[in-house]
Amino acid sequence: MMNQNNCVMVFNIVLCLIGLCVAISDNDGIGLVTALFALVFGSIACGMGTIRAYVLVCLTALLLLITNSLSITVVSYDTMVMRKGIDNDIWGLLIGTVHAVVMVPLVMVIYIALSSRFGAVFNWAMVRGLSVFIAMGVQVPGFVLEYIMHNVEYDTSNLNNGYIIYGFMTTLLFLILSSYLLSGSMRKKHLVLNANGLEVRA
Amino acid sequence: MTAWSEEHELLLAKAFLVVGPMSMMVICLFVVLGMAPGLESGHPREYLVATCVLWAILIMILPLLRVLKLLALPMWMVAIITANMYFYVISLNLGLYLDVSWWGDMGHVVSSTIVAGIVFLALALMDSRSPEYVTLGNRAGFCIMLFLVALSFGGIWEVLEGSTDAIAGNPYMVYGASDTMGDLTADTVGVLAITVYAYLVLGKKSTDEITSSVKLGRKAFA
Repeated sequence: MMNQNNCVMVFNIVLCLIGLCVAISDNDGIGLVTALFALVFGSIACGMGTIRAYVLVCLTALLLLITNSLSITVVSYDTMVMRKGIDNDIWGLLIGTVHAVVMVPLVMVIYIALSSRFGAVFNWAMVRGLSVFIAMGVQVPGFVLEYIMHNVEYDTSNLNNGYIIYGFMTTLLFLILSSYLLSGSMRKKHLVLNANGLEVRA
Repeated sequence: MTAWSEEHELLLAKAFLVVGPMSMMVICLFVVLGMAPGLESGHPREYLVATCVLWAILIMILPLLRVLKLLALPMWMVAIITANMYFYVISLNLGLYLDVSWWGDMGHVVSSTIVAGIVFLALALMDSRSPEYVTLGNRAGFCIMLFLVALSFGGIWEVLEGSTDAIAGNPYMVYGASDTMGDLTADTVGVLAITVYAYLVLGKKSTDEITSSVKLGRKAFA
């Protein structure tokens, strides 16, 4: 019988793999890279073995599947710009928001993975200072991959600077807000994130 | 740092205060005499002269700060920054940015190594000078963090570029998305190179040792 750890890990792997396939089906580079990060770091983060870590891993995998599905259907370039005639900039903002939503729990999962497997210990200041950079760092290879994938198929219709800039800007705003809230709570409660999870600093 | 090496470093900084701007002026002389290939490639003479003069001033900043005992950086960092300055000025004066299609991307690779180097140093400082209970973990953990944080600056750069154009009322980033994504690809290569370097260095030195040569402010030199 599978233990709790393996259950969460399998759940995460299955959802991330589906999310990965969804992203590949429409050359969604950001979705693909996000799925890869969620797959790898989610699996590592399960090693922490706390309920909070499990919830975050599952939430990330679930959000990833939802946002990847949305980005190739309801919020895709074909649906919004080609069919509904929505302005390119507004579409950039919408798709950027969809991609940014999953970054919030994913960054936390990356912190948990780094703490549980690589011995990192983060205090509130590090969480507040580094979160934005981690999220944007995840997105850069996403755009790179998207560029490569679209160029291979000679289809660069939806690749415009608005898409890139709004993608980064929405992530920036989402992570500034979420890291401020999380770090504020950590600071207030004197918490640090280490291999055992969130603990009150001695 | 031993007394000898500190003295040696100071001597080097004093020498570069003269050699740095002089070398830029030598390049400038080629432009003034009409012998710089960049002129034939299409760069205006005033633009090349202004670039040489500006970089002649900029190249003095780090040695000057060192001589004034305000800032000391590790030699590898100073070497990367200085090499980047020469790379840019020489490439421009040779007309490589206009004549060679991929030279701009290579410039992005080279300049992203500076950014990644600064991030490496900043994270090492964060690791060594934070409270004892805080750490970025072992070298693999440190390098994952370095890779992601350094990469983000490629994105931040593009946001700044786009925002500046938007504020100025210009059509943003006239070179198109392919150029932006090409830049991000080049940035990724540069960051990857420094991350590999950092992984190798962290195998031999601790973050305390890496940051021991960083000094900021006169008190640090006392």
